[in-house]
Parts: sequence; structure tokens; C-alpha cells
Amino acid sequence: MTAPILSAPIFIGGAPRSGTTLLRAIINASGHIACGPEARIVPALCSLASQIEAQKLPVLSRDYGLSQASLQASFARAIEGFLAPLAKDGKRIAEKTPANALHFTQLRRLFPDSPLVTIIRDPRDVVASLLDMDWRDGASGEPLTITHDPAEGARLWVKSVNSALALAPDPNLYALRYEHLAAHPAREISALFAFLGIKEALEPALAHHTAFNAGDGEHESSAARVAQPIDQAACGRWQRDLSTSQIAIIEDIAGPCMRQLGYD
Amino acid sequence: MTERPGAVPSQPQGQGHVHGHIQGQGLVFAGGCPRSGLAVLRRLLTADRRLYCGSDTGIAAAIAQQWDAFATQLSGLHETSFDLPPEAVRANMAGLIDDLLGAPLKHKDDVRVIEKTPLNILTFEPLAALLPGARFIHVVRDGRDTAHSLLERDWRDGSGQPLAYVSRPDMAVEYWSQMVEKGLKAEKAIGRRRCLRVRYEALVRQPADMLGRIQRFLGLEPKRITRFDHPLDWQGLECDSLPALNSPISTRYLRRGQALEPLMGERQKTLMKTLRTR
Repeated sequence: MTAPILSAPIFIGGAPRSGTTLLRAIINASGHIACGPEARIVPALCSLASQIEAQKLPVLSRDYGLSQASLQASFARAIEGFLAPLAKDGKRIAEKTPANALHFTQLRRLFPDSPLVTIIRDPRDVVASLLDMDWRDGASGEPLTITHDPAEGARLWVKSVNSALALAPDPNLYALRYEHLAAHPAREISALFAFLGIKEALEPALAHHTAFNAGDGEHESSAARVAQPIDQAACGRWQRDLSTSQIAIIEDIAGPCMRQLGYD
Repeated sequence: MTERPGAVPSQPQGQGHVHGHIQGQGLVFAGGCPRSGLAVLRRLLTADRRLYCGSDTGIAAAIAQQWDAFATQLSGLHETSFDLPPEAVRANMAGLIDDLLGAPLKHKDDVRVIEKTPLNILTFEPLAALLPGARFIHVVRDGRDTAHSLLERDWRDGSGQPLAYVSRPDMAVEYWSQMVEKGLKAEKAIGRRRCLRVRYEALVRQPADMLGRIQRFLGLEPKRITRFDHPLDWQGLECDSLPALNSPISTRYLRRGQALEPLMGERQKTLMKTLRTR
């Protein structure tokens, strides 16, 4: 399975703490794709596009001559404008922000030919990792709820996974598992690269940590970890890091989705 | 320097220009305290076929706020990791507004698009910075009449409670005061060349003259129009003003808030005086 148009930007998303930064490092190491750290522009513009489309399109169409197709083309142009400076040395562009996953449906409308890549990780590990984060609201300075409330973390995981997988069986949607990537990096990276049309780049991708600039993304909490070789150390950490009650809360919220994905 | 109405805004070469087009050129944003006459302004403007003024969309303010968030929270990241200097971010967001509202401008030079969401007034200043070619119309109305009209609304918050400024006379007057102060601040920051103040009282008393003044402000050939009874579709909060909006423009809504005079303190009286003089 190969992405049909190699010039369309690639969008990467997933629940926070699922391995999106690792994915960015691997893709960049291929040498064929340029993927910057979280620009946070794409989710913001997709959200704006969805709101305008849902609430204002009739007025914009009647009074300002704006069609739905023109609205979508306008937002696609704006997003491309933000990503364009990354396109250097003939490299294809990728954009990685975890919240992209929440907007895969809108991204598919704006970019019909773009590969959409999501990475899924056991929600218990995701929540255990979130609880270690010191993420704060930019305006109030208060800790984000997902960093201290396992229920909120689990809800965000469910929302992110369901939003990304809602596009299935879109042939240009690719979902990989963090646990598979950690256990069989060569196999998983080869499959991902085949999907993206990347050839002869497995070796540098496996050595991604040697080229990764941990200081690049100020919003990427995993940067230091990604600067190390891939291993399975973080798989199953929930068994030692979460309490019984925290595990129960997560499984109560995410249970149906977990069972569907085989996280028993 | 004397500012000539209708003159093409001068900008440093390059900034605000995309392929020779000054971003925002042909776009006009009208705003003011709600119940100040924005819907009547739409009736007036749309009598001139060169002026496209639709129902409220709120999209310009939403995009301006998003631009502000990018600029204040993410500019360092965008510049260092994405080679996106602040001017590139501005140009992209400005291009989005041009794209979404500017379709009527594409084929004719003597056309203007007016977006008249009242709360545009809160983002006049960022919009002026975002769109160097855009113009602005600040609609103002007697504070007593505006407050009186607000108190006739049944506007509620998300929990179903009536909004304070439509249920308490003192809060209605305070709301008008705050909105007018924001509007006056924006007028000063943007400058008379790009921002026109329109008084509701003048608009309903001499609509044809007011339309002529707006035509000149927008750089259009003056065209005398005296009939304002064309059919229009109204949407959203505009419908609060029906059926009056479908009647000829008249003075019958003037001086309806005289009973609120005792609530007008020194601050409000100063504002009223400021609004009458320009």
C-alpha cells in the first residue's frame, strides 16, 4: 500500500504520550521527509474550519458567494502556507501534532490525497506517562487536567483513537502500534515507509536517535527519550506506576475501545 | 499629513502586499455595541449594488483572535523551527480572511465587502494590523437608547440565565460604556483614514447623505440613492429587530431611552459628548 500522491503533506497525530515524537524522529531520519516539531497550527485551523463550516457556511454562501469547496480550499491553502518553508532540498512535508488526530476527518476533506498517520499505545501506559507531565495551561498557568486526572487522560485517549480510526477503511490512513514499533522496529518502520513510498531508508531510520535534535521542539516532552534507541522499557509501565483504582478508572472509560484494539 | 478619504493605504513595500494586492483591500469591518444600528446599516449599504453586506459571520474576529494566539504563544517556535517569521504568519492568516470574504471583490474594482458583526469592534485593532488594506466603520448610538434596546432583549447565557446587560439597566449602561470606550480606542489607534464613525441618529435622519459619506470613505464614486426598501433576508440576532428592519428607515426609535437618563453618570456624559463631536 503506497500513498498515491507524493507531494501531499503527511499529517501525524495520536493521543499525547503515544509515540508521535518518536515517529517524527524516524520519519525525519529517512532523509526524504521534513517533519518539524509541534507547530500546533493544524489543529487550530481545522477546528476553525469545522466551526465555520458547521455554523456560518449558509450565510457565507448566500451573502459572500463562498462555496463549501472554496472554504475548504482556503483553509488548505492557509495550512500549506504555514508548512511550505519546511519544504527544502526536495523533501516532502510532514506535520506532527498529537491533536491532529482529533481532526483527521476535517484534514481528509481539506487534503484528499494526504497520508494520515496515527500511532496507538496502551491507554494505561499513556495515562501513566501523562501523570508524569508538568503541562500547564498557557493562559492560567494551572496544570492541565489530563496530567492529574486519569479519567480525563483516558477520555482524551478514547477521543483521539476514535477520531483517527473513524476514517477507516480510508486507504490513505495508516495506524501503527507503539508496542509493535518498540518490539519490532525494523519490521514496523519498513511497513510504514512502504506506505509512505520511502525507499532505502531503513538503516538511518533505525539510527534515528543519532540524528535527533532533542532541543528542537519546546513542546515535545519526549525529546530526551527519543534521543535514545528504541526499546520496550516504557511498554507495560502502567503495571508498576498506576494504582489499582487508577487502572479501574481507565479501563472503565476506555474498556470497549481497548478490547476492540486487543489491549486486554 | 492630511488623510484623504478613499486613498489607497500606504504601507512599507512588501509588508501586507501579496502579488501586488494589499491584503484586506476592499474589505470593510463594521462593529459597535450591539443594538447600535448595525442591521440598519446593512439595509442602507445594500441599497448600493456595489456594497456587499451580509448577515453576521463573526469569522474575521475568530481568525484575528487565532492569529493573536499564534503570535503571542507560538511565535518563537514558528520562527526558529519552521522558518516562519511573524510577517509570514500574519500574511497567511490575512490571506485566509481575504479568501473567505473576498469572493465578490475578484471581478470588479468598484465593489466593497462589509462584514458587520457588532463584536467586530473588539478586534478592530488586530484586524487593522492583520489586514493593512481593510477599512472600518464604528457605529455608535445614544447610550440611553442603546441600553433601552438591550433591555428589550431576551438574551441568555449558556446556562439559560438572562445576561446581566439585558436585564439590569445599570449593567446595560455599563455595557454600552465599555463597548464605546473600546471603539473609541480602536478609532484612535487605526486613524481616521481607515476608520469612519457612523452615528445611528444621523443614519436614520439622513440615510441618503450618510450613504454618500460612506461611499466617499470607501473610495467609491458617490451615487445618490434614496430608496432603502429592497427585500433582504435576515439571520441570527438580526431577526431581533424584525419587523422594523423590513420597514423604511425611520426616526421612530430615537429618544426611546430617556427614562434611563438618571443612570448616565459623568463617564457616560463624557462619552456621549465625544460621540457627538468629530
